[in-house]
Amino acid sequence: MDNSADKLRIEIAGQVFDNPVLLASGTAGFGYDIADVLDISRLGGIVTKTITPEPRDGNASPRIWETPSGMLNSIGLVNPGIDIFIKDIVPLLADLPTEIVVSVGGNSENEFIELVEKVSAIDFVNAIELNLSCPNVKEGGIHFGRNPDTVFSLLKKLREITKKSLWAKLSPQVTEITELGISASDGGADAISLINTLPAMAIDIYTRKPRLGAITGGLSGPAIHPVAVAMVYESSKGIGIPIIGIGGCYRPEDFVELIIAGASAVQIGSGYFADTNLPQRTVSFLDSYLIENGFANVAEIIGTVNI
Amino acid sequence: MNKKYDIESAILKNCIVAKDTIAMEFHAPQIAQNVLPGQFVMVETPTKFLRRPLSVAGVDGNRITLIIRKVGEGTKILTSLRRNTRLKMLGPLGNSFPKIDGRKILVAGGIGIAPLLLYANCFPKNSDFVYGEKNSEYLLDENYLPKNIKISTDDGSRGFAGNVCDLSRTLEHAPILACGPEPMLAEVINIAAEWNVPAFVSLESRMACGFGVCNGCAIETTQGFKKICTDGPVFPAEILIFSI
Ligand SMILES: Cc1cc2nc3c(=O)[nH]c(=O)nc-3n(C[C@H](O)[C@H](O)[C@H](O)COP(=O)(O)OP(=O)(O)OC[C@H]3O[C@@H](n4cnc5c(N)ncnc54)[C@H](O)[C@@H]3O)c2cc1C
Ligand SMILES: Cc1cc2nc3c(=O)[nH]c(=O)nc-3n(C[C@H](O)[C@H](O)[C@H](O)COP(=O)(O)O)c2cc1C
Ligand code: FES
Repeated sequence: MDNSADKLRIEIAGQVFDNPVLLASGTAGFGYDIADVLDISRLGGIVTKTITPEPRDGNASPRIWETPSGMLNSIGLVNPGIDIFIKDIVPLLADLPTEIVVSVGGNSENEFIELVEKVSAIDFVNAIELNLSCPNVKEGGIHFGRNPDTVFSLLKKLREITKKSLWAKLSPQVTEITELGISASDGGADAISLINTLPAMAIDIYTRKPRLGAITGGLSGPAIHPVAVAMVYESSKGIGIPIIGIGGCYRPEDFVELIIAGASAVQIGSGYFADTNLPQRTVSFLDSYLIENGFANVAEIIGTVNI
Repeated sequence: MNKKYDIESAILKNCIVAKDTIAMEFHAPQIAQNVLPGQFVMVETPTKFLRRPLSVAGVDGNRITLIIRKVGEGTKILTSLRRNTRLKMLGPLGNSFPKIDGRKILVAGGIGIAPLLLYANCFPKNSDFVYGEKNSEYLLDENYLPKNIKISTDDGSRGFAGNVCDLSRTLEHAPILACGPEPMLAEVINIAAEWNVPAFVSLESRMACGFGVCNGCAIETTQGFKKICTDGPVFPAEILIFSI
């Protein structure tokens, strides 16, 4: 038996992941897109781009802007829409050597119901991440994402139509993250993903034009890491379901920090653009961290901030 | 699917080759052995979060050469690095210029010459190579240029006085491969249309990933949205829509 593999294995709502290192929605395509860049079999899993009911071409360019310790993006949920996803993309996902979590985003309860119904029919997908927090689509899910009552009611409806595990990806842009997380959990969510990008903007002072075609966008990268740590820490105390930590990981230590803050698994987004070996290095680092610090497995360090 | 290598490599040699412009050599066997003319690498830029896209301008055995011009903060940092500094880089990335058997014209505007130098090296036969800069200070050291290159400067300080498109118009008609600033590329496309020859141009964009997942580099073409980093950077002229 491979002890090393056992040690890193984690479970979220009954689903087993080889390790807690996942790639975040919108930064890993559909998994096969990055097979020539990194060995995806070494990852715990991949969250797909967010799929919407209709195809989306995305926002006006420029869509990215670098900031001190991070980047802004206003991509705008570029995706082929649920029907093409099911017909053309899902067959390519079936044999990928890692867990696939499908991210979906709707503008209304009915849209979410349609999306979750369709994704639930894919037998090899065990988890669906609900993007309730994209700052880049005006009408978007962020409206549900900020209101505890709508989050509860949405999750309750979705819970009735699917047996798949539901991960609610919440907006960091709320006053009470724990309250929101509890609403999602009470409604039937199996896990909470935290955080999405933070709303942000940059302006060229000479032309006085915004740096992004869509004017505002979302901030990701190391700049938001401490925000993610705090939100994971706060919410993990009050919410009884697993937290998936996301935000600003760009060194292996950052993943471990989120796990100690309370995350059962960690997703990395823009940080691996700067180093595509980072996810694999993190898996090795985690392994030695556990050994060197006398822990038997990842579960032993989740939510163990020493206060 | 072509494997992309994320390596860390030390600067073996760096020298000033023109005003604000440095040539850098790296030991990068996997990239050197697989790169095609027109492809690029994403290069770590110390203290910056994102890497910078840079064309492979030369290959010598297991070494690659990059030619970097200072235009902003990141390229300022890159052009001031010392020898032996280790940088991470990912590549080779993107598509490449097509191999054209008959006569062709390579049109380079400014630092856009970088990928065309590799092209001229790989396919030295049967081409006219024209290269324009604002003025002679920016012209690359002639050791980096092919012998028969035709030069233009906007101010006439060396070679043909005028821009590189005006110089191109004086040549016998042939398919065009071009890289340079957008207004120049738009004019190249006009020339190709007048001559009724194919043209392939290499485009630039800010990039976050460089390998097709962030969608930050997308442009609209007559065939829908394309990503410059994976569908390009080289595109056939007829599908491009220039808003100039
Ligand atoms: C495929 C590809 C190959 C390239 N090859 C080379 C090369 O071989 N040598 C070389 O010197 N440069 C090359 N470039 C351009 C180079 O990537 C940019 O000059 C660099 O990223 C600018 O970074 P910065 O931090 O210095 O500029 P910033 O401080 O971010 O910006 C300064 C100025 O540069 C402009 N700019 C920034 N990024 C880009 C970009 N990607 N394309 C066009 N303009 C930009 C901005 O509009 C601004 O005017 C290439 C670009 C691409 C996409
Ligand atoms: C280019 C880009 C595209 C993204 N697209 C999505 C998306 O489609 N759906 C989603 O839920 N989050 C999306 N995100 C947010 C990330 O999944 C993640 O929550 C955020 O970037 C913070 O993590 P990071 O700091 O590690 O990048 C995107 C982020 C980036 C940088
Ligand atoms: S730079 Fe990320 S898709 Fe092209």
